[in-house]
Amino acid sequence: MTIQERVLEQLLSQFVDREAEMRRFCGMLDSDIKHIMLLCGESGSGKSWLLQKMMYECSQRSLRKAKVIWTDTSSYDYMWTMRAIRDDLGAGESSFQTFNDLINQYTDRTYSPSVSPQIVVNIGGPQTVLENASIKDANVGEIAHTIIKDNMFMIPRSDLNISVKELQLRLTGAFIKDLADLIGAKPDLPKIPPIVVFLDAAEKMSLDTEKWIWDELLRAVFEERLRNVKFIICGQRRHDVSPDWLITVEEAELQPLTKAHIMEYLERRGVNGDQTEMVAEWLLATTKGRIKDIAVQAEMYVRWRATQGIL
Amino acid sequence: MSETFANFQESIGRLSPAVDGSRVEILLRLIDQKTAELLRLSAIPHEFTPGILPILLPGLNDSDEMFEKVAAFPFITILNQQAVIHDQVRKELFISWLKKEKEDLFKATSNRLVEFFESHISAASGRERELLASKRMFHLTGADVTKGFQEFESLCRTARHQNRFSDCHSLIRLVHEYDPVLPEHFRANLAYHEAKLAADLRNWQSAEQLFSRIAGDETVDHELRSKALFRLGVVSSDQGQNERAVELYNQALQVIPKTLKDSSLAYRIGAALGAAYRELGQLSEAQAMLETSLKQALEARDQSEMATIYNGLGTLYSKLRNPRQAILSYTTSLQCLAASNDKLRAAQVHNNLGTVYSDHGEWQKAEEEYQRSLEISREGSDTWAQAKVLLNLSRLYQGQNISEKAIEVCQQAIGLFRELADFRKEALAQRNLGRLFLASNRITQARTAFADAISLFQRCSLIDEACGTQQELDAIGGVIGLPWWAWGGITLLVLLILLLILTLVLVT
Repeated sequence: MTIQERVLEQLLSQFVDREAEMRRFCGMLDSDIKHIMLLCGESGSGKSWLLQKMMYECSQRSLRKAKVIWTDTSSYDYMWTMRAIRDDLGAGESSFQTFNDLINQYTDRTYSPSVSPQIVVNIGGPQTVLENASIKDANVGEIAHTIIKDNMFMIPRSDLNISVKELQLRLTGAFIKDLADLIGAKPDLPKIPPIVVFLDAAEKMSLDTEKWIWDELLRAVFEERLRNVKFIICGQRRHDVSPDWLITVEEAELQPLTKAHIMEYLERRGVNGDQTEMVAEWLLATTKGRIKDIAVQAEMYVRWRATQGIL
Repeated sequence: MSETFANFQESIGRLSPAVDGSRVEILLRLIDQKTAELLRLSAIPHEFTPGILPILLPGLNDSDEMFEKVAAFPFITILNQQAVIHDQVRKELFISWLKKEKEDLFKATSNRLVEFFESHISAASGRERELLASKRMFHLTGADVTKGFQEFESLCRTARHQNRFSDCHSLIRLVHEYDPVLPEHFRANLAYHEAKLAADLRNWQSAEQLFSRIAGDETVDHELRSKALFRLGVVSSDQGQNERAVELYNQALQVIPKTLKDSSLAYRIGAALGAAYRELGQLSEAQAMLETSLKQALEARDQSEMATIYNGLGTLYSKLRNPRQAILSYTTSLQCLAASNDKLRAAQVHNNLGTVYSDHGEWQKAEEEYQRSLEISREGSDTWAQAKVLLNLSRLYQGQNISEKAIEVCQQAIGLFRELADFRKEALAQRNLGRLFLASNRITQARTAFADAISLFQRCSLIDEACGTQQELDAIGGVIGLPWWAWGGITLLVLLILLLILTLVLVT
């Protein structure tokens, strides 16, 4: 286990259960109608932690999943979002072949489009993801899979005059087709387990990426061109969902932690006995239940006790 | 209240004024100095790994152990094998690095980070390389704001030319982290890049706000103000507001510094002004402006801009009903494009040439130009351009009464617009197809095409267009779209029934 995994395990073990949100998430996984979950909450409300828990839930159910996390330095556009989803999901030579083939044609002048032997296969190193992680007795496993990638060029060929919009449409069309083939869900076939795609820190997406997510990617879910894929979008801003879409969208706003939650968290941090309730009340009053502030202030208290020799 | 908790609160109360009440700072005072220092330093990069800790704190020899200690704080998450401090906590810690008293240490650390990322760039490729370059730029700005900003502008321009708008967005956001210490002129330039990005993404409101702020700021240098006014004009023009565009282009020309009167900026503004005049029907002003700009572009031997101006002049002469001059201008534009090795833009000019020939009944030449345009667009995979040329070709065949060919190419254009999910243009083409069918007396197909056009117009919320097409459909009359032999059969049947009734009446 790497240091990073050990740290992640420790962080997860301190996570406070978000029962209501988790129930809605599990409900959506089983639903035939709801396919998109919007999870919003202000900075520090614990969205990313909740997302980790949801990913863990997927692992428990042996569901295939992909995650795309926007950070300050990695700003995924539509092409990289698709590539990231493909890399998390796509094991096997036949998956995402149309998409890979097309992206190569548009970015590599020397590439000859046609059939699989000409698709460049890069075998990535082992990809470590959060699997079999237990919240209480956390234990992070490791899976390795072979990733079939495209040439990973970034720029459309200079000898082409294809517009941004057309490139986007064609690549998205190919991606959706390949993803649908990978899932294999058909209306007349028995229900199969869904694939879950997590999109975190959506507030850091650029405007064009956000537009693509809703107008192209999620529209395929809404129009049932893509079945049995569940999307979880997590961000600070609420997205105005058009009334037509409400039937397929589950919206959840993260609520501040309650006193009971804070007490549970403190117990996990080793604050027990008669102190717990008092500290919880203080935290609730000074943080308004924001999980990040609670974490900082609880840490303050734990550290202060350590300096005083109190265990 | 227990004594322990009371003591805790008292301690916190003592620490608070010294650290401006910052919760994170209080926490840092409660932990050992080495961990606190490392945690503060870890907020300079956006992510950290055990490998980067000795760069942040030279001489650190227990980096794995310290990483585990630092990353275990509850406001730190592990993402893709890297530790990430929660946004707000990092922001709080990062801003404290921008204070004057920490400048030396911050610059020295930033310099080491620049070297660190630079050493990794050479071995990286593709996206990884771009990410490392943006991180390097971020720390270079911390070490030397002028060099860092130059690097930002270079990366941002490259990303923009490659249509990597998300990367532009990310680069701009990174530089904004230095807002509290960013000199005024860099801040104005940053806003300019932000505005250009907004305009690229057709976020007009945001683009206008940002450009207007720069244009109206007397402290900003004249060149940047002129550029902002020019871009504001382009934004207006793109929205069809040509009167406002003319006003803004004129202001841009007034503001431009004397030293730049003959620069590429000046003749680009002039060419845009000429085009806006032309759209407003002020053709003599348009001609004067385009010719002045052309002269400047010729002097600068700027083939690319010359091609644009000649193309603009071609359209102007076409409006002035001077086909000879229009053809000459378009042809010269094509020569300039060939000289600048720009094959792809030639498709548009060939299309324009085709239209001039077509307007003057030179069918064969028109067809040749349209076919040439189509060929270039096909080679360049430009489907929109192909669809537009096919529509023009359809009109050309229609003008020559070659109905079948006109219908065939119109259907091809519809197929392309459908592939591109461009419902508005598909609707327009469907309506045109309906008219072609109607002209060929193919009523059933005309009805279907009009009905398809109506539903597409409705899908795009173009209600007026939908109503207009409905009227065209209604005007076809009560003719039900059946073939002649069906109508013959119906007539015979009716006659037979009448004959039968008459016979029955006569018999009774």
